[in-house]
Amino acid sequence: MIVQLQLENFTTFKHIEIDFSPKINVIIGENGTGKTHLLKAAYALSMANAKSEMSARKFATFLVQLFGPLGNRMNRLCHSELQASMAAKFDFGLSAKASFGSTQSSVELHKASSDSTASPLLIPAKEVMSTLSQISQEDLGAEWFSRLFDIGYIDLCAVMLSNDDSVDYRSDPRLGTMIPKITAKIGGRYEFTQKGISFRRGQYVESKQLPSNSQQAKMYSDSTKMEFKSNSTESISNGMTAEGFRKVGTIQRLLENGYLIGSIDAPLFWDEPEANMNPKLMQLLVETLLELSRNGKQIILATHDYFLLKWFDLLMEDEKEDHVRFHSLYREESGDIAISSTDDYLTIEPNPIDETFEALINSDLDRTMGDLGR
Amino acid sequence: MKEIKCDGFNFTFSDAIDVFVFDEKKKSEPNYHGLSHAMKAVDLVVELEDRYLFVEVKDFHEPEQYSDNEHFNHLREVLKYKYRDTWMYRWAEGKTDKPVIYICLLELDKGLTARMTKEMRRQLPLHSCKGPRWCNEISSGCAVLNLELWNKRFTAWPVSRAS
Repeated sequence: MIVQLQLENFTTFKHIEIDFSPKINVIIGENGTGKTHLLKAAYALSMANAKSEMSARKFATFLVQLFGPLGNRMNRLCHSELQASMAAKFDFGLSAKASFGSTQSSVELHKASSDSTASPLLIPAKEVMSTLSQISQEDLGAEWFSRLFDIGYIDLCAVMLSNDDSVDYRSDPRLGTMIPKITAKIGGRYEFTQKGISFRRGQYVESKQLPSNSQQAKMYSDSTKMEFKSNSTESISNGMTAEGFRKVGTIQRLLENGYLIGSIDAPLFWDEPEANMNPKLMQLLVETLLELSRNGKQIILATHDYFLLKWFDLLMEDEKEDHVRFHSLYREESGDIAISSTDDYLTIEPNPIDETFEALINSDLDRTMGDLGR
Repeated sequence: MKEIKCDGFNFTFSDAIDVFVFDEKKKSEPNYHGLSHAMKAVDLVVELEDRYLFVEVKDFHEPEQYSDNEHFNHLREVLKYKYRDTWMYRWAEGKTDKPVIYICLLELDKGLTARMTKEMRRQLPLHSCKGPRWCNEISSGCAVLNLELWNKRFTAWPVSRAS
């Protein structure tokens, strides 16, 4: 879990410090205020903290693959050609710090941890489901793929193609209930087989396998087994399904393959979950993220979407100890990027999403009322 | 310039001919309503040179509850019937000689005010949504704004919270 992030002279940031909620963090801000950079920086340091084998050299390569600076040069990540530093504090008193200069290509990395822990994950704004089939074809080569996509995509694809057989996701009371909900909403599930990835229509129903003895009967009542029942003999090509469904399918897959349960201690970063998604799917998405958070997953996401913000405000429950912290990135008069954080939805300031509503309302009043009252 | 206090807010209408509390309960007042038992009423009626404004004011203790459909729809019905009953009353007074605009000052977030504006325009209904056989309009405009939006928009009609 990441507790705090500090960036000095890093990409668009001169100086920024952010204290994360251990539960849900929502980052807003206009385009160009560094939301994605902030997510990626926090993701990179979380990865450095999680991977014992992450040396300074590997971290430098990771940063270049993640941010894709011009000419793949580290010094292009420095703000105003100054010495850059990025530092994060984690739970259990752990920390990681990296620094590099505009004239040097090497990175200094200091970590308080030498043990490997569960890896964080970054879900990018673009959906990846449609590219998974191509990625799984080994003959295409990793280099070809890395030219097209940053390391965040590649890490996500690797996780999605993995399968933790040790986790019985369907009977896990922590998150198992979300899979049938998601499946019902998109009308089926994405299936990962030797032949590739496809979508099959259907839904989860209670398993008809009855328990054979009293102990099993108790287990049955504690946690009802669900099984997927398809109502179609034909699968649909992954690429033929709606892009919004493929994004929801990403979460479906990460639940089904055991990643989200197996790595519950590692933060989940998500850049613009709403991209290409119908607002009607937003409630389900927020319900899923809250459920993940209630089970110990730290969530850090960036958004432009009113519905996403509003659903968090509406669905969080004090009795379930939900907590959402809103972080607003904005440009000061000096041109520097600053951040303000609040735990209260109504006091987000500045709020570019709200300002957009205001602009729409005013434009509408211009049209319908002209200069009345002015 | 006309000033008036209503439901905890001070209003100033710099270009108004007249402003009065529409649902006046005191018999001694010239604008005594007298039909409060039978008809709903907006808070203020403002007469401008070329139109009337019906103004409804609501400050909420729990504004977030109107994100819920049930509360939102109830509020919409209340606002709608306040307008219609007021319009009917004014028609019976012979005071529908100018176009009427309905403005609601509701302390809701901007997303909800935009949603309520859209709903109210369909429900009143506005002239653009009128019945197929209608030749007259009962409302020529509607806007639902919170205090911040109102003051930014209607600079000639400033509103402040009464101390």
